[in-house]
Amino acid sequence: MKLLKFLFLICGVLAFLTRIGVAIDKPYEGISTDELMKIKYYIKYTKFAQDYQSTGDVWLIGKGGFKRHRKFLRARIILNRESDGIDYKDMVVFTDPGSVKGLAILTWTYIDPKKEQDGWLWLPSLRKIRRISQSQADDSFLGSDFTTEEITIRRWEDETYEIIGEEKFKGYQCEFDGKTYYEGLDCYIVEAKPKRKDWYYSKRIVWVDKNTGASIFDEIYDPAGRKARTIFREYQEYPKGYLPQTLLECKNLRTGHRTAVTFDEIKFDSGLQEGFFTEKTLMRTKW
Amino acid sequence: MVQRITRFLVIWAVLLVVSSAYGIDVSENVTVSGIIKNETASHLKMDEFMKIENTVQMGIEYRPTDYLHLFGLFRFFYDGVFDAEEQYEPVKSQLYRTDVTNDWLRELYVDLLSNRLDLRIGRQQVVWGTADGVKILDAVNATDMREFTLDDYADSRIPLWMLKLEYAPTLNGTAQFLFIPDFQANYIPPLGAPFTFGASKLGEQGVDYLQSLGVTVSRHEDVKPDPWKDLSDSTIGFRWLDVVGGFEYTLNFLYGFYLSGANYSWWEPPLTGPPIPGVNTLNLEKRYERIYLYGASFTKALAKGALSGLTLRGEFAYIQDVPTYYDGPLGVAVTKMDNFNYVLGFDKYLVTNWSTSLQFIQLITSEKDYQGYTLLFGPTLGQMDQVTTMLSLKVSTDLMHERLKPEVLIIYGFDNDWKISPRVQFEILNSLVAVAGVHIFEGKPENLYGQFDDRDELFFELRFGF
Repeated sequence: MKLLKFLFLICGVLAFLTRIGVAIDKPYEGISTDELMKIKYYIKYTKFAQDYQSTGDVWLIGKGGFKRHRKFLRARIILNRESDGIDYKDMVVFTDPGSVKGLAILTWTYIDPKKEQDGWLWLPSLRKIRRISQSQADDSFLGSDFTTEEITIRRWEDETYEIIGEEKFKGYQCEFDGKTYYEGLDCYIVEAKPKRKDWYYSKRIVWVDKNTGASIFDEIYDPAGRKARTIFREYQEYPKGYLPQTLLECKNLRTGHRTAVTFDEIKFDSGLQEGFFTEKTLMRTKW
Repeated sequence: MVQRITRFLVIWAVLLVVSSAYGIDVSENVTVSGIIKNETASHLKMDEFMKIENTVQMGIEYRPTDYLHLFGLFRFFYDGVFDAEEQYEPVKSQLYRTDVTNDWLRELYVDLLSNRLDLRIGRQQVVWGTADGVKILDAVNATDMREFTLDDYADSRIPLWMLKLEYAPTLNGTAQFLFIPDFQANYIPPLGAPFTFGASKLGEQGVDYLQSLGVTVSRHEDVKPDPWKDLSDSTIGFRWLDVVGGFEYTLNFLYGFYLSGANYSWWEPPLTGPPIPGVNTLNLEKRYERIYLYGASFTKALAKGALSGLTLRGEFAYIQDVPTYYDGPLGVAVTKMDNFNYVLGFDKYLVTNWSTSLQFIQLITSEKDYQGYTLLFGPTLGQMDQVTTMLSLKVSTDLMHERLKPEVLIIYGFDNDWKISPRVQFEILNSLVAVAGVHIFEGKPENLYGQFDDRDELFFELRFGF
């Protein structure tokens, strides 16, 4: 009987832990590259939390300084559900400027890395929902300097990894806000190579924070081995050790075009219901 | 004219000041947004304007709580082509501005929202189906066809007062009920408009001929349903939508009206031979008759395997009691037949950001003739095949970080009937977008697109959104 009570207690504790999210793993001395990069993806897709909401701003900046601006709302619920294989659901709604206002995208991402996302696009000007094919992974993500793969698709399983060094990060001079970030931060340097052949990049050199496992800086090399783009990520630590991205900057070294994304009003575990991530919600958007 | 342009410019200037002063959020709960645009089209030969339309559209949303939203969308336009082109002057009063068709109030509704039940009450648009360039299930709201099918559907769809209830008994399943105590017919452009249908021209020619013989032609008032007076004239709709394992489907039902109406004619007294002036009178009357629409649609994005990335979609409508014209012994007459219309679509990104969308469309009439009489195609009164087959192909991409978006939509009817519409959109500034393109029609006058073979147009649009 005592054993039964003990098992119930354990189950209860596990259920509680599941509801509040799971503790985030941290890198440790002697960690394998694969384990390290699993932590990186865990952080990237906020899989430590039950749900996530934020507002955001995107600046698309030309070489000559010409800026285009987008504002958006983002919500995500992490399900990691075996029964239907759904990993998480995402909703992004553009709120500005008028030319894209109200445009909303709902995506369902599956646990199986080989299964493509399901996506729905609400076109407010047409009052219509279109089922969308997943964009080609090497396509620019919504006109930015990021690829679709870099923002929404890439999984841990898509690359092979090797730690090629450990050093203090020399600091990133952010062109968007002029600040220098993470100077002297202890990092692992990881070489990531795509498993796909003849892909749009030959490798990435990734600086991963030794303390948190978050990737802060990528150098992306084209198929000819030339450095083509860089991506910087800033994180802020939230209660429970949650670590969301708060600033991204991607530079195209050939064209001089760059994209900056900032995230504000970040909320975790606010009790979003899965019913929010449906077409019914998409159609509530007026603009 | 000068006064009107001045008035328009003043309104524009005031709106610009208001929008820049208030931005998008007037207060925490109130959002104002809008569009100011000019659409100018000329004949491809550049010898006449076909449209010089200035539009102001403004939307206001008030969200006192998460569960109660109020929304209004107002649109005003003035089409200067009826001043600029003498040949359109006779129809100016019917087409040149918003209040002619009473559609300045595009939307005005209250949303009452909850996790499972959403209620929207007021003037609104409801869109069923997802086909490009053709309407199969999109049959709830009527269409303003003053620009044929060239206008954006959101602009040409005529809103209706209705109650829309959406209930989600399961996570992904939603039942939608529509109760529409309102009626609006498709707006068919009058004779002399830039896009007058072939049937209207033929009908008028016939009437002119009879009148030249001294025969009296009596035009009766349209017989329209009036749900405000008789609730049994209301339209009722139902849609069930569900997503099962990535397979999305809908089941649709609409108890509504044939929105283009049917032109009935009869002689008084009945003809016993050729019409006799002063004795026989030809009576003309347009009636809007009940139809039953049973429909379904599906979409499935193939997520695995060789066809991964391909989205399949289909839309099917079986419509009972569709008024159908035939070439009867005393001229054009109307009977009722059932129609089965469907579209199958295949969407895929082919190379990086090149999106392609191919559609196979068939419009099928239940009979190939009526008691041996030839069936006639409503918009042109040309001979109608029992099965009309069309293909459409839409190809689009983007350049310059999605600043430049070229696109082409080609619709091909198997009677060698074409519409080709290439266009390019350029984002000049965050809120300022320019669009340029052409619409090219090819085909025989008795076919849908061929009737506008001499109406090819070059268009340009400048749109400011706030």
